[in-house]
Amino acid sequence: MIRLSEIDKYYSSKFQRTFVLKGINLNIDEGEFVSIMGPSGAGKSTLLNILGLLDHPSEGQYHLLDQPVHQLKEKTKTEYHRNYIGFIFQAYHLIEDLTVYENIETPLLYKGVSGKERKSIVADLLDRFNIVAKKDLFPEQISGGQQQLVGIARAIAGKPKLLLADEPTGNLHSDQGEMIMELLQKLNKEEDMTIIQVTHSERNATYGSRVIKLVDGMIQSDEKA
Amino acid sequence: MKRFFKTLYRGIKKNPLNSAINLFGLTLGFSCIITITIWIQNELSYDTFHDNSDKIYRVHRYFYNPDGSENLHLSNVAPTVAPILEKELKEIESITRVKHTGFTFRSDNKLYREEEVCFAEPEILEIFNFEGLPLDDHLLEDPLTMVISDEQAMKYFNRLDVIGEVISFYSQDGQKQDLKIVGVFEKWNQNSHFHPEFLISFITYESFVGEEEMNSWGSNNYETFALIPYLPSDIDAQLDNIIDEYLEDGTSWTKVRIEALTDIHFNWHSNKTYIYVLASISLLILIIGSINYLNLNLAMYSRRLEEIKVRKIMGASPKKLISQLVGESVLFCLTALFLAAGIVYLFLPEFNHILGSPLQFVLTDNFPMIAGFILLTILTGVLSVLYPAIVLSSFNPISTRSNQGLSFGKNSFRTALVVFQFFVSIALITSFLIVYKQLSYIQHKELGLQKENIIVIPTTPQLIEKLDVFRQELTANPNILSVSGSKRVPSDGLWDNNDAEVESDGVVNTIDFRLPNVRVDEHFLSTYGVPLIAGRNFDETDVESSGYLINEQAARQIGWESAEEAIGQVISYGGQRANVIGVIGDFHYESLHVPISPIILYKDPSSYNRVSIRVSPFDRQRTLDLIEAKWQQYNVPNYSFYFEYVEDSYNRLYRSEQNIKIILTYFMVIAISIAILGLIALSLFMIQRRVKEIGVRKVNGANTSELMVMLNKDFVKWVIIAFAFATPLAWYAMSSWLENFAYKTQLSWWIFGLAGVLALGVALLTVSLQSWRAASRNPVEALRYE
Repeated sequence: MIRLSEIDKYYSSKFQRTFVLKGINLNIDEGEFVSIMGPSGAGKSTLLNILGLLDHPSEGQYHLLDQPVHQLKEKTKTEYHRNYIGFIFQAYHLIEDLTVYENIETPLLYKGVSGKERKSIVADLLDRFNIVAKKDLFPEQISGGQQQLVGIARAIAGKPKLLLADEPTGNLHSDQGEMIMELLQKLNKEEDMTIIQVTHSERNATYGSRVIKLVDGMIQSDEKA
Repeated sequence: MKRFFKTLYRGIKKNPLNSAINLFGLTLGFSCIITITIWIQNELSYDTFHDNSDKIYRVHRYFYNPDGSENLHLSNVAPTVAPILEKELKEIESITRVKHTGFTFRSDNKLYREEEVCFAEPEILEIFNFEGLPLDDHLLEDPLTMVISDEQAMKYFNRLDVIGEVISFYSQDGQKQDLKIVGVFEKWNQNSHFHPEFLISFITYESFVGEEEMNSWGSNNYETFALIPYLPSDIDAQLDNIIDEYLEDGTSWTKVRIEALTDIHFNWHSNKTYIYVLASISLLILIIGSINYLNLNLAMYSRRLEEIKVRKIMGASPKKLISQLVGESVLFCLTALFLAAGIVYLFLPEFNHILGSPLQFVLTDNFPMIAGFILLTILTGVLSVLYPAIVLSSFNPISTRSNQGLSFGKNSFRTALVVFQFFVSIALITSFLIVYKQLSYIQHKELGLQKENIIVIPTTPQLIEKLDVFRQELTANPNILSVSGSKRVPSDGLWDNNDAEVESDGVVNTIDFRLPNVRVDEHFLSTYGVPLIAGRNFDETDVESSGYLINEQAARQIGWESAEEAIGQVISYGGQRANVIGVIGDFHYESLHVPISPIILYKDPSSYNRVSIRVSPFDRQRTLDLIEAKWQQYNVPNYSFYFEYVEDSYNRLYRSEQNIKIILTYFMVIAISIAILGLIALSLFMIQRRVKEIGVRKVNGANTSELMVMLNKDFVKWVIIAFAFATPLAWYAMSSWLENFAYKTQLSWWIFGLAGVLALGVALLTVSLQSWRAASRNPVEALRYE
């Protein structure tokens, strides 16, 4: 599903290049649950951004679903965001001015899903995540764990093939963190969703099927769990 | 769409202060624009309601000094002009003379003072629109017939079918005359430079004044309108030829010209410059309001960055984001427009009251205006957010991950906007101060006479004959100090002129400047408090040919070294030789727009139209009652009494300046309050963004006052830059405005300084309130949220 070959990411100043990622070769198959780990500054988030088409590599090729996405135009990237990729953030990044319901509905609006269908999808998600009672509340009115549930619900509302999570439990205490990780695992197992998460926590990594360790922008190890 | 409104509504709810400031600024801006547009429309509407409006022209007349300079420009011409033009200019379809006058009518034993009475030739009915007149080709052809407006018909007879009824008046010799009504027309309620209520046949007037007046080239009392369907391009040359043909060498001293009916309002009663100035100022206010909007939107957007970023990641295209932001903005502006319309609707009567204007806010028949406003509003809405919307939506979502806020081009764009607001405010404050200073200068300038406490009443030959008795009986009352008869009174124009020659040692020299005359009696100087510099005043025994008084200006211009030298000199004025018996001090007979003119004074009781009465400031009503009683006693009965204060008519000379002052005051207050509000919101935002920095600095030992200096520094810099730009502009604009006055206040440096200091003070006060709060806060609070 994902094929990275010789991906470099660097920032050039006058005299030197600073590499954030260097020579990344990586294949991820559909249905994998990959954890990217590593110390601060290792390039984890940059790699995730490149995978999510939010950033582009300086060198190298990236094939997503057999398409050479490193050649894509902005407009087409938007199409990928709408249809194939979902994001979960450490800080949830819910839209403060929208209710829980509306937050989940947003990607469907951009995707152009009809009103009736939107209603059933959102209702289904609310039900599944047990947050029906919260649907008319605003993000600041619910707990962090619930916000992240909404974040996940929103990320998967458009039925993406690839779910990217940047420290999804980083802002949560352990109980809530566990709940979120279990949910991700379930999504991976039951719906065969490909998930890539960035995490600092060894424990969180155990929920996945594969752990990639990054150090100084290079892959140090790549192990199946 | 529903989502769209919801987001907008919640955005407003979330930032009530910013939204309120935005709404306030935009609403006021739109209100100003709407009001000024209505006003301009009103100004442009004068005399446009006639079917022939674009084909009607008025004849006006110039007089020239021997040196070729313009001496006098009159909107009315001599009675000889119309018949000659009709004969000589084949392009003229029809032409009419109109003699305006005031009348006291009598009907059903009641007296009515009427000011809108015109003697006019029958052609007036085909040139202008008079709706409702009977189909009769011979209206206004017979003596003692007239047509009146429907409003007057209701007033006099309480019905409209009044043809055949009679309204009478008493001529000055006491004869009762009956005027037969031959038609009723719909009153001109539209804007017009004249509003006839009674049109009396011109032949009636001719029979009153006689042949001599009708053949005069000097009696310029006739407004003359011509219907010219196709105006020849060489009209000026043709007119000059005609004048030269009828007056030998005529164009060397006088010319006639024509002006379009629709230009009359601007040429004589208004000033197009004021329209441009007010339109620009109201546009500036809208721009100031929009700047607030733009600035605060930038502030709000940097808070919405998070949202926009997330939306992008979820697949919102830039186009979609821009259209959302622009849509929100347009809707917001339309709300402001709606509110503004309400405000204008509510305050227009008040505005009319202050300015004495007849403005109306009618939406129904004004579709182009409404469409224009909506277009302007949409434009404002789009322009105010387009830039930030484009910047925002093309933002790379991950580069703003750290969420340090937006910096639109290093803030220089925003700085420019704020500087512009200060610039407008300072320029307006300066202009206001100068207008204020000039008007108070006018109010307090020594006119060379005492204009206070003088009552002017009309008079008739009967009263003039018994003026001495009238005076004696009045001055017996201690509250009546002095009574004087004259042809006109100060604050009127110096309209009476004649040829003048000076004789010295048998040599006769023509005076080559205009020397208008003022015809007064021996009590004029004491009534008006004009000082006698040399020689003597008139006395009771003097007659018209006994001698002349001149003012110092006249003595100077003739070339006499001193006032004393003038005494005893011989002047021949309009052919009447007499000695100069006295020289009086210069005083401002006319407005301060023009320099003091040389004048010559002589007695001429037969010309007296007015009586000026100096009264004490005490017991005014009783004094007025007494004057009226005596006036009735000595006048022909059946005249109604009216009076006015000289001081009021002097003030009326500056009516348009007074209006400008009022409008400028409003504009200034509005502009400054919008700017202050914008400043509050902006400084709040800028300081909020530096809360962490402030905290860190405090922890490292900065004290409150050092922090305030740091926070206020920028704003002071902006005011200074704005001041540097505003001052030359205001100086230039106000110097040209002051050019309208022959006597003007100085453009002292302190006015500009004061405007700058005021703006700086307001800005500092506004900003300091915010910065003090931020700077005096416990730094722990600021840092805790990291």
